[in-house]
Amino acid sequence: MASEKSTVMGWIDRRLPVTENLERHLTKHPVPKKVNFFYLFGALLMVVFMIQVVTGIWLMMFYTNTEEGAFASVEYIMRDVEYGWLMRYMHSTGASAFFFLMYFHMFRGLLYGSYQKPKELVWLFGCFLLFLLMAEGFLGYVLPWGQMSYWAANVILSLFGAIPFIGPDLQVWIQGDFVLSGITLSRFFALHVVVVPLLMIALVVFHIFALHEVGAGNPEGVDIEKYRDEKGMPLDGAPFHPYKTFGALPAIGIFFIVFFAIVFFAPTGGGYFIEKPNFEEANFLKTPEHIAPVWYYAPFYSILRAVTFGIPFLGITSKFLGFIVFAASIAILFVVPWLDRSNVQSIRYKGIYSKIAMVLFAASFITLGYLGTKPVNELRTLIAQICTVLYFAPFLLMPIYTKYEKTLKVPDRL
Amino acid sequence: MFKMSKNKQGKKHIHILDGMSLYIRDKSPFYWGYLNVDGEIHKKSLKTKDKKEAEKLLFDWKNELLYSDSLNDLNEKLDMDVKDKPRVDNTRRKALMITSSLMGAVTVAGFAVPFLSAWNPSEKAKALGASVKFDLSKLEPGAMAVVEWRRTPIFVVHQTSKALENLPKLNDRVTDPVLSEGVARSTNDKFTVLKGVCTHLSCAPKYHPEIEPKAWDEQWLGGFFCPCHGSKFDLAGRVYKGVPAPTNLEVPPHKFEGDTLIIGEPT
Repeated sequence: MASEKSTVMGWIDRRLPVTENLERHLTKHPVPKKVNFFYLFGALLMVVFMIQVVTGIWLMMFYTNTEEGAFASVEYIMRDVEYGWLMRYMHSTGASAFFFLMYFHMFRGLLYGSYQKPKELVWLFGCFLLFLLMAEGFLGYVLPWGQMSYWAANVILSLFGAIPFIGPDLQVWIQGDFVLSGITLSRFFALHVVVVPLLMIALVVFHIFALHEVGAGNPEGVDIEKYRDEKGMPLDGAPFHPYKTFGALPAIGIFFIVFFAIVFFAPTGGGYFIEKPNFEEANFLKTPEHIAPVWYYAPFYSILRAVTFGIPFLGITSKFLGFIVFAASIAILFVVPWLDRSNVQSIRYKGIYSKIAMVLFAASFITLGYLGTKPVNELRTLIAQICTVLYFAPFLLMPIYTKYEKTLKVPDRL
Repeated sequence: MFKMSKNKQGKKHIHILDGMSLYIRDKSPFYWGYLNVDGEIHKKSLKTKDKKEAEKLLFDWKNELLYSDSLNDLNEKLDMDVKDKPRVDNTRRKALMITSSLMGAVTVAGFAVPFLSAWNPSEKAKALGASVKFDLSKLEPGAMAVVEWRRTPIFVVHQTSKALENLPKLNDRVTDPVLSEGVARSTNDKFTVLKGVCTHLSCAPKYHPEIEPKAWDEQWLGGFFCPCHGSKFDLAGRVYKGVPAPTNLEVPPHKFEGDTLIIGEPT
């Protein structure tokens, strides 16, 4: 054992099991030999998380979290701080990249059953991370104190105000003022830079430790633990380091090319990453023509707007019901491990209904995303309502179709 | 080294230590061991013909007996201890657990109060959001004043009798005539108080009290016109049909005290 060695590392290992944990989580941690590109998003998410932390700390060195100073300090970062523009655009593009990768990472999970027993906790931690990321993104978007920061935050905070009985007081409590003001801004700043990132780091650690306990999956849904060589290494597995770490390097390279292409040449993403009204300081007397969320919230915003009716006899307004359905669209992801009754993991061996369900889900998500960035009209509202149903149906019907559909036999080996 | 003796039964004894000896029995080919441990006599065949080995086994056996005896003693002692001890009082333990959990919860709740209360509007925010007073005596009939309350422009209109007569005529042209609360939308028969924020996209509607044909309306009887997207409201803030704004201009909480209007306090 390494800890018995009379080296510096041995001395440390007897006090802190560094080598043991490196072996356990990196150099001897078995991962499936054959996976596809869908399995790269986890590593890329780690990279983006690090970009956000580092650029975020640097932005914090120049940002002012007051109503009077916020917008000007962002201008200052953009114009006067050396490479300030790079820090800010990396951070704002990083936010979009974070969501982009997160959506693919989770869709991979849905396709290949990465949530199935015994990986339920890995999936749950992941869902919590999505929720925290959405909160983090929202809080961060308010900080530049532009027109869209202000009015989008108003829309979201008024959702809390729509909760029956406690709503208006709750909204005032969250805002710390009777209107959205600098008081709200500075508490959002504290949440954005300290509270939510701390929770996210903790959850990433739980996510990865739980994953290493139960083992990573693969597109075939084959259990690699079944067949091992004489050393105990799964026959269809390979150590995470160096096989997967170096395997991910080209992907990280390609990601950086795309990422910096956006940072250098299209940092606002045509108004989808940073919206045009946000280059104008917040004005509480002037609402922008059209309040649209950034692209990554658009599908959920669409669901929120698709609910145009309430339940009057229960005292539920359409606004509040929209809020409930919007919350449910994220909450439903948490229970997927218990909705899937299939005897196979991967979509490759599942039946036709599972495949149709995944296509419908993906199509409705993209359509909702498109609609969420457009102003409403009757036709769009109708399409959004249909897509909302199609978004929920694959999950709500999952216990039925996964149980009765005909599945294929999963091979023994990868 | 060993004394050899032959007793009357013809058994050959080899004395090793006090209470410890080997002997041979007539019909057995093996050495037998004799042990006297604390007055207890133990005898058994050692199943060996070799004297040296028999000796060694005898010592081992003795150790084993001594060790197991002491172990038994220890166990017995422990048993006694357990028996002597009073039984765990689970009711008491449960009561202690409940009270300490409760005390813990109270402590957590107590500490939560300042942290959660810090999120309430501060005194400064409360002062800025407090109700505003406005002196109505200087407002001429037909004039409008703009008062700021919670960052919102509040329109205070002194209605003329002509305007009040005209309001019911517009009942068919507005989306929501609010007949039940009174077409003037006010508890006072002279003054109307409205939030000066267009319900379409929060622009500021302009006050046009004059009764004359306008570019946006041939039969204009006075009201508010929003230049941003052309929403029309009458002098009581009721929204016209066929304009972008969906609802009437909001009425903020307000009350009248003689000639003073207090905005921000409900009637």
